Amino acid sequence: MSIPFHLYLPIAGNSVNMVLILGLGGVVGLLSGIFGVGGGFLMTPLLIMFGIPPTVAAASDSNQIVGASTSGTLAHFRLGNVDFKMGLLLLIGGVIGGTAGVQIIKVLRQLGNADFLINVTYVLMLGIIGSYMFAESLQSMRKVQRNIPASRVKKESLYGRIAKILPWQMEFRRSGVRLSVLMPLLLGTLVGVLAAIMGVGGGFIMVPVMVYLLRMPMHVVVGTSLFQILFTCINVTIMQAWRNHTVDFVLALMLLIGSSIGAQVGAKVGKKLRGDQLKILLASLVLVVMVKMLYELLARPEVLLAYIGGH
Amino acid sequence: MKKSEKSKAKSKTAMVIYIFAALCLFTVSTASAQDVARIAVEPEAINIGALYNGTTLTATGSVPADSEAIVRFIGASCDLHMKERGKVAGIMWMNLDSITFKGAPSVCLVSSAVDLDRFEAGGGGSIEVLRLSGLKGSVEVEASGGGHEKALDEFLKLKQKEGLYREMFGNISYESASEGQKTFRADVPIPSRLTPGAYVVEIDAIRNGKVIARAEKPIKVNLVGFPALLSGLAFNHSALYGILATVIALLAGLGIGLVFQGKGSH
Repeated sequence: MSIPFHLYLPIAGNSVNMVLILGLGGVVGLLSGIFGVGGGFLMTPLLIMFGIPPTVAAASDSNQIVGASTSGTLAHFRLGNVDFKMGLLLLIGGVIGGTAGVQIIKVLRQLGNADFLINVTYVLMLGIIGSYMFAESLQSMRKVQRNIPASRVKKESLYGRIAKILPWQMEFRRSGVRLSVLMPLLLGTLVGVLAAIMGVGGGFIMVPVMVYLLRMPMHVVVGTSLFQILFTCINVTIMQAWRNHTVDFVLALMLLIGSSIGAQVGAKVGKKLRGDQLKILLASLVLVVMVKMLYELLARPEVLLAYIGGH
Repeated sequence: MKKSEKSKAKSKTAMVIYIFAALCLFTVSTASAQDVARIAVEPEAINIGALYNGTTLTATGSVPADSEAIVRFIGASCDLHMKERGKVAGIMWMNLDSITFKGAPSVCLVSSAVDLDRFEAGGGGSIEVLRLSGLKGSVEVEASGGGHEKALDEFLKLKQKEGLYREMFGNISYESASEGQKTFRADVPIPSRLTPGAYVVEIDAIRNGKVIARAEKPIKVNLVGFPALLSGLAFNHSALYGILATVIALLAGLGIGLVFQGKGSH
């Protein structure tokens, strides 16, 4: 008697290999747990490759991220890596930015060539962020190797001085920083706008923003990013299921079983890595995604037609 | 004497006419009896349960002995809205114009006993109307501006890549022939990527590039068991479905988190 490995997905309208989907969830969950990113950039194209319609792949992925980020947030919370105060402020900013972003994309589409603008912005942003993070973490790793003290007194930058004179300064104890409330709100809004325009969760942009602009320690960044992604994906899942009927719960459940386990392992792996090691790995991942996107833009597609929807 | 000879000749002519007419009638009746196609399908309905992963549909029946059988499994026609990809600034490939394919069948599987390319090349006549390329004549393209000449070719390429449009040969076998009819059996592999709805299994008998007989059998594809339950919830109670999907995902995430906490506390 053979073991049935395939399961039919009624919303996606296709059957999938359960082992494959569990494994896929596990790998993406591992990355999510280590770096604090949702993993939609990786999961959605892979699901499309396995025959899931793009709109169903993107929406079901959001559903599974709810589970994975719950598990990841819990793991990071236990390790003391979640700054709830900062996360909530970024979330409020993200909701405002997301709403504004949806309106901006409508205007861009009316002007024409919106997709061109989005893709070029995406590649440029990933390229700049990835290269900067890579170079910066490489430099800091070399310093550690040469035993150069990291706490050398540096001249404060213009950005640092502006950040200090902004009103409503607040202590963020978990992150170990003192900042104006306006900073996470404004940066959250900016990321929300970009995420809505690009049609992604925003983890990729949010993590570097937390590290370099909010100056939070890398481990707290990962936990706080997951906490924020959780709420974003709850909203997306309910809206997609309600309005577009594109959430395949069976697919999401299989993915999330794999990814929740992966996220737990990822959180433990991440704890064993130093901040600069985490940063350089994330920077490499960002650069790989950038190269992949650039290749897709430059190489002739196999078929000159595309379904509407997906990331 | 002359009179009787005349009447003899008359009756002879009448007999010839009768015989000729009877022969004609016999030939016509025989021809129409032979130029028919019959089809039966097993199973009569495809039920998609939780473990469905494609199935094989068996079509049996008969076609005229001197014809070639082509069996087609066709899904209901629908309109597909897509984006056409093109170059921007001469270097980058982007999704550009919106394009709609009207009247395209959701699935089109063409089965034959012989390679249709060889069959056409070997004097079998053109049977393009039954082939995938024949869909170009029935699917309508609606797009703004010009330059969409290759769109239908790309559409066929995409559908073939998805396994929903396919031409197969060698999956029809002929079993016996009697009274001008030969029986056939076609084993059609139905893809796992199948949505519920009305489908048709069609048999076409081809002689000299012409369809001389056709028959079809409707077949229903239904969701049963858990997929039917889930689909009903997703489409008829969508808000509740969304909330349930979120709550279950949250609980599963928490559950797995707690399991790991238990293991980590040792």
